[in-house]
Amino acid sequence: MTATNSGCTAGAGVLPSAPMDLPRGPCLLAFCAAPPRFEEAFRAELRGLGAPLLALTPSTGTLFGADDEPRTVGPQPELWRLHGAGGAALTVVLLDEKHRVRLRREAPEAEGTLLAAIRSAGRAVRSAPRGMGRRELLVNSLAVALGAAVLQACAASRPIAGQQESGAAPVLLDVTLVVNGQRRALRVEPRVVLLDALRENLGLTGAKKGCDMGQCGACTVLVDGQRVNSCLKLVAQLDGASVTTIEGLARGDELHPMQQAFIQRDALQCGYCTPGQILSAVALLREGKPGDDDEIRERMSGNLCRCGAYPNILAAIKDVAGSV
Amino acid sequence: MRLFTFQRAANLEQAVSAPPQAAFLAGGTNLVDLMKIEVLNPALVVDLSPLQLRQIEVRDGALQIGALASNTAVAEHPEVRRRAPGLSEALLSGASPQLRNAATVGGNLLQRTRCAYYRDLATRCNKREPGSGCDALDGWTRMHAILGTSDQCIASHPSDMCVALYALDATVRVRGPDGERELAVSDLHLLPGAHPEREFSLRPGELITAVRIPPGDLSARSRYVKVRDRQSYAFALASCAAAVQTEGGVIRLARFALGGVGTKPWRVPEAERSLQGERATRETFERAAEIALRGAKPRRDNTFKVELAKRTAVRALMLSAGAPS
Amino acid sequence: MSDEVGKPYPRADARAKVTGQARYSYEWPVAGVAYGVLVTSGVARGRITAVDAGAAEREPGVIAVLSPSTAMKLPGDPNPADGGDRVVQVLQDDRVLYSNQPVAVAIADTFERALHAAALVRVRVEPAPFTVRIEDELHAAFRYDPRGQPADLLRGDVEAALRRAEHKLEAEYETPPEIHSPLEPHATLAVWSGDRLTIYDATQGIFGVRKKLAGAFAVPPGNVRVITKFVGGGFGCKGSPWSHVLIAALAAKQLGRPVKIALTRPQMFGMVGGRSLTHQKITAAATSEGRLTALRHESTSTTSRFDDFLEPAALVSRHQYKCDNLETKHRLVRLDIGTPTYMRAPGESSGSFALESAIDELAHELGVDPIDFRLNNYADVDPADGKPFSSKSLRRCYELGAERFGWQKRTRRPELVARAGKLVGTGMATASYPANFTRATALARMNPDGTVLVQSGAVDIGTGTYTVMAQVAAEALGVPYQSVKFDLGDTEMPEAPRSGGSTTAASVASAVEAACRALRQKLSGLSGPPDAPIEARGEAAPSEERKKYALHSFGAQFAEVEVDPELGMVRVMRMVGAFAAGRILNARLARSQFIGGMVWGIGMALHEHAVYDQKLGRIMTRDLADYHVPAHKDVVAIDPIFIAVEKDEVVDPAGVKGIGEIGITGAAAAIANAVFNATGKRVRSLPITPDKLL
Repeated sequence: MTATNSGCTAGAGVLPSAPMDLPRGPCLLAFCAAPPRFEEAFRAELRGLGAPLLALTPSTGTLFGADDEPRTVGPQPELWRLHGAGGAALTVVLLDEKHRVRLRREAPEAEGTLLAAIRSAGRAVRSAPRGMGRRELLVNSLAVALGAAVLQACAASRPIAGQQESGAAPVLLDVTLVVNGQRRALRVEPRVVLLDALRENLGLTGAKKGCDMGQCGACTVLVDGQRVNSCLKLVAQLDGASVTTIEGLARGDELHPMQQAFIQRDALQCGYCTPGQILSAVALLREGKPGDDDEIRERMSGNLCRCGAYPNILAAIKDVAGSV
Repeated sequence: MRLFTFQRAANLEQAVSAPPQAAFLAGGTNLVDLMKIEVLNPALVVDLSPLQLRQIEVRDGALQIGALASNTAVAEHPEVRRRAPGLSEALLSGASPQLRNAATVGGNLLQRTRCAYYRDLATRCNKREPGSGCDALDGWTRMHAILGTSDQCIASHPSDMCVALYALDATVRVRGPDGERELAVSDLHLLPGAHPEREFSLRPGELITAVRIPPGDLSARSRYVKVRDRQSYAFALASCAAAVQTEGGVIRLARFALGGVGTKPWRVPEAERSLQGERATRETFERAAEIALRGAKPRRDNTFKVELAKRTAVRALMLSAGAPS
Repeated sequence: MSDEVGKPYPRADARAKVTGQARYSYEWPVAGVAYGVLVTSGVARGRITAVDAGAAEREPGVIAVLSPSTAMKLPGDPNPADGGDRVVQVLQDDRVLYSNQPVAVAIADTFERALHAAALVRVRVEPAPFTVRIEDELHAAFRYDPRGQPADLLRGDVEAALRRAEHKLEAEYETPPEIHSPLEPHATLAVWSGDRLTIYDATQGIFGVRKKLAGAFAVPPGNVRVITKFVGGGFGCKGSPWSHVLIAALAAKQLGRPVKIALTRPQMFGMVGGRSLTHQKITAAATSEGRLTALRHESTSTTSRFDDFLEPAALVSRHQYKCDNLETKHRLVRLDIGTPTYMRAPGESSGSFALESAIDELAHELGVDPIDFRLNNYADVDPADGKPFSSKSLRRCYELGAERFGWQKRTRRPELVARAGKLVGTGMATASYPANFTRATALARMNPDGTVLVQSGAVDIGTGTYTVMAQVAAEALGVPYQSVKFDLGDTEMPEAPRSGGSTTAASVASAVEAACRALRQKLSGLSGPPDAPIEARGEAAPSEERKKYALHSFGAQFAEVEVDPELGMVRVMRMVGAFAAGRILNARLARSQFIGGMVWGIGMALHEHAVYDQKLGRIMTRDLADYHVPAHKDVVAIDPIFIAVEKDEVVDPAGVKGIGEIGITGAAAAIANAVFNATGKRVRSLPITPDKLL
């Protein structure tokens, strides 16, 4: 799976920070492509924050301490290299009190983003009750605020729908599923679930949407042989997985024994829950031969049938179980 | 569902150094559900499925269960059935086979409440939006808690597995940026108090890696009883995981935890202590159940839970003790 | 005649359903279709003052957000006075009339984008006072005529009979609000081409949808084509076009592209109907031998502020038992809720719970066997107006059912029987449902290859229409069943009534027979199939003769329950239903229909309850985890038996009575009566959940 995107990237950095020149405790590194102005308002916010900001441009470096006046520290090319900065207008890195990287973000705009983040973090820090681990709270608040501010900046720079420009398209993921034995390539937003990918992207409407929240079982398919609710499975997690839908049960014109049994026993009425019932039943028998009728009922209870075909569904499953 | 960035954690270190606002994705049965209705809106989702945390094994008599082991795998494991049958029963009584196949132990530990107000953006909820209010307090409260509540939140804890883990004295192993630590499962879940939005004692970046059930014969006697509005595929009105050891009809050791009635699974040590040395009779268990329900604060629609929880506890204790009914 | 009717052929559409080939409304592949997701109100009543759609519209792929301020004004009237269908809210004004009412729709190029956009739309509502409590509005209860009959009926002198009574019962019964909850959420796909509209809709009545849309968009009905090949359950909630249908068509017209909308599961609670709660009161008097001398059945139900619908629960008492002093009353109360609608056996299911529980209570008090009590009061003519029954085989049903169930005559003391720690109880009740018949038309065509195509614009909601009509046609034409195909679900086909009120089988079968008779006439000169297709149309409509009779199906319901005495959980261990419903068209499919109704009886008795938060005026049981319908484990042994042919030459030309709904009538009472027999506890308020038995 590869990520195709542009505009905003986010990464959880695992690089250790360079030990030199950085004040002890949590601090914020801001790599800015162009020198920010950092007016008095900005510095006021910083003073209340309790963590220093090291603002770096390719040619300068300024350390805004918690209480001191800002002092020049000169450019820090090793830090730029270490943190892979330079790819965006702003790269911000948050270090915790052990100087481990807790957050790394890139944003298309520097000043406003930083100001918003620091303002928001400062508020959180000031309103926290006494006795909370101050440093931890600070780091957390900054991280959350930075994350939010950066996303905001990214969103603000996205063009209006209908004027899509390559610079700010939403992130799409390339995912390959093996559906009913066939490799199917998908390029979808990360929020797409398997059920919608099957129905809307791949035209396989056999899996049904009954509730879209895992409470009815109509969307049941087999993923790597196991029955699951496809409405709660992000496609992003399933790269390379094999999926079996109702369309994949029959062999050409020859129906699967469970499909045949459902027809014979009239184990359906409106048919909407039927694909899920059949796949669930097939999986049930693979999971283990049921001991008695009540065990079948229990193990099929994740598939609701409002038409009430349950007794006939049970009969169909027993037909197939008995003939195995 | 809001747009988010999706990442796969290649290993534990990477997972643990994810930014604090990242949400960990395991089976998705809880997180994806809540993201779809926009109750949870992480900007970054880190997929844990590549991690090797699925082992279920016995070490020095203790059951060690990896956080990514599926509910199904745990429930059906022969060692779990043997050493902690109550855990297996609890798991199998929850959700559906489809959900259990996907759901993990870690996800089950961290699942959110099913409170209908929490799940409805049109209503006020202190857990979702701190300080906004709680419409459940004088709303529909049939499924809500009577123990561990505050005037900010009465949402009940929905898990069956957790109730059993509480009764089994399980511990939870956690890995974070600061290293590894182990905590009692009962310390994982927080009471709502004045901050219902704080649900877990986990620190930022911490990830549950395993659950451990300590060795001991008591766990092998554990049982789980669940009362609900439907025969299957429904949350508990009240439930109880109980483990009782007797000798010659006298209780040597007993533990029990209540489900469906607390803001977290509910264990009352005083109630458990009251059983020691007593005869394993219905009257003994009823007295203990009485103690366990002390301080219950029912709401308009769930006053029945006080009596129901007592009876459920008695039933589970009787079953575990093997006492004649 | 080839004797095809009655044969247990497998469902004709079963193969399509088990292979996933059956297409439901949301699934039609239409090029360029856009996805719509409704935005609904969180406030129960008020006026929309602002709709902030900015954030939604800025999201990638979002095409538009339509609300009362941006949606096109409909050229016609979506709610004409003579409409006869439900009043809908289609973004035409700023009123909010109930919680979860549609107030906007977000349209995008993918479902996920539309869903998220809908969540971003902020609708500001200036709230107005409201109530969802029936107690608040009882003072304003008004009379409402059910199904064209008078709201109140009085025969004899009930008061006097009550005064003289040897034994009296006065009891109140309650059924809760219920929601149909079919597995398929409502869905509509609208495609405009100029001023012609094609609609794929999950509906039980395609002609009703056509009429509603044609009126709303001021186009001739012929410009609107509704196609419904498969529906994932209806039970009444898809019998009327609701708001989303018009909103989809509106969006498609305004945006100039096809639009499809499916309701989310939470959106199914409030805007597409449900069964109103009922507060019922039965006052009855009987002699010591168990003869009814007085029966008064009063029922109050609720409706919305903007549309009247009555749950006619007291109707059942007009037809069920012989009683010279009989009174029934219906009252309606308006609340700030969505309008209720027909829900499987509207009136008969809710009313039979009360009546059949009351009868059981009386029988128990008198020490008379419940079946004997009912036989003592057997009505040979309709108690309400003295009309003879066109056919009635209820005695046989009691007999067959009792034998099948193993019912021994008993004056059963409760709490008598236990099994493995559970209390066991049995109960029974009478089932009944009117035999409705509405005008229907059909077309039959014989092809040169000898195959026959029969068409009618009916809908198959799982009832088996595709199958049984082919059987009816085959028998009427004297050809093998395999050579006949029945097609439905398109307004270009001859008009048929909506699939509701157990009407379809009776009405369409009669029309199909008429069409086939006409076709036989046309073919009478030929020795083999024609050289070119020959077709004929047929029509069937209720006869004048029908008005002289009382027309009902009847049955007897039996249930056995196990109750956990400590924990209160109830499980229905087996049910037997013995039914007489005219001519059964297909034994296999009929059995499924009866089972379906009886399973609904379990849900009604033990599970279903749509709960309103009274402070918010909002249904809080808004998904399938909180609103319980029976799961597989709840359904053990359901055993319907039925008389294959109950001759009836009046009910309709086909002799068919319709069986989709009778299965639920009496079922909940049989279960409640069984619970009483098991525990000695009489529960008069459904559902019977564990807390009621502690």
